[in-house]
Amino acid sequence: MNEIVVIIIGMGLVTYIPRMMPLVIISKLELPEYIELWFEFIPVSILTILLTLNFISYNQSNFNINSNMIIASLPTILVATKTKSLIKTVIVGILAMAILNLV
Amino acid sequence: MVSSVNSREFLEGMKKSFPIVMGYLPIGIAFGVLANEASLSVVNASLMSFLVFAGASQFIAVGLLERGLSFISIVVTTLLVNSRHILMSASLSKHFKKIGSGKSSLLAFGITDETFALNSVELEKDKNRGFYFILGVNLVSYLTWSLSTIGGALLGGYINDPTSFGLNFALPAMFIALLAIHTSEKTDLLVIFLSVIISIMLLPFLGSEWTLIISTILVATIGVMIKYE
Repeated sequence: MNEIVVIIIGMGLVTYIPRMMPLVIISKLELPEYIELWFEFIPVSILTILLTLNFISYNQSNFNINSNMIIASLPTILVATKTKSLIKTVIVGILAMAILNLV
Repeated sequence: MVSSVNSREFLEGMKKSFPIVMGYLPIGIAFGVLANEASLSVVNASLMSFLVFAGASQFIAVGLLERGLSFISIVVTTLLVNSRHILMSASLSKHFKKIGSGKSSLLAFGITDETFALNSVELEKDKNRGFYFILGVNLVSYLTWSLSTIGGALLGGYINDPTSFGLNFALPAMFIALLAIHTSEKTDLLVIFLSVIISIMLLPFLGSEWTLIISTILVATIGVMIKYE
């Protein structure tokens, strides 16, 4: 087996274990209410931060704002809050960005 | 035995994954192209997507391989970049109480930022959804990622810019939609506000990987403290 394959298998293991252990172990536990509540805040927080990191990055002691992403998100947010539809929102978002890429 | 209810749930999960398919396709192709340029064989590039299935860390690993870094440094970097999945896995656990350990271990392989986001919101919206729904989401996402990597690695230099056509906004748009679907209370708005502020404040000091982890921990802790006031 060459070295790259060994590296890939190592990467696979260290990626899989953090994905699997908490899920399998914690789903069996009876947790105190405040810990369950703590977990409930995680999805919205992660969603928001992932989104924020798409809009803003930090390089060489400067914030960089991706203005196309911000502009494309305006019609997207509008459709998202009006329709609450995943598909419609994503199609509008892709179209908005496609138009911005042409400009 | 697979009942019709289960297969309907499975199909629903697959259908809901449309944004992830649109988002992963260009990134998977881009990864294949990059791996190819870094002189990884088509087999090795595809193997990485099939066995690791974690975009950011794969891009980083190819960069490190190109610079000739060793097994240990690449594996440790991968572990650090992907440690955010611990939070996601822990937070998903409440939906897995009725799913056995074997099936849970299988689904856990498919936890990515995007499948986590989609599954969390959709399972919260409809509590009847379970194993087959998640399987639909994770399987479609996994196949899109690995097959587009093969495509990119095979085509290599023949593709100009696979991230054009607005597809680079598919995943951010999905996050926006999921936030809109999930947000119902004032607390959610507060969580969104705190997450934006804290992550921007930490970003210059921690870099994006740690900003995500530390900000989430801080926001969830503040959230609990406010609820218990």
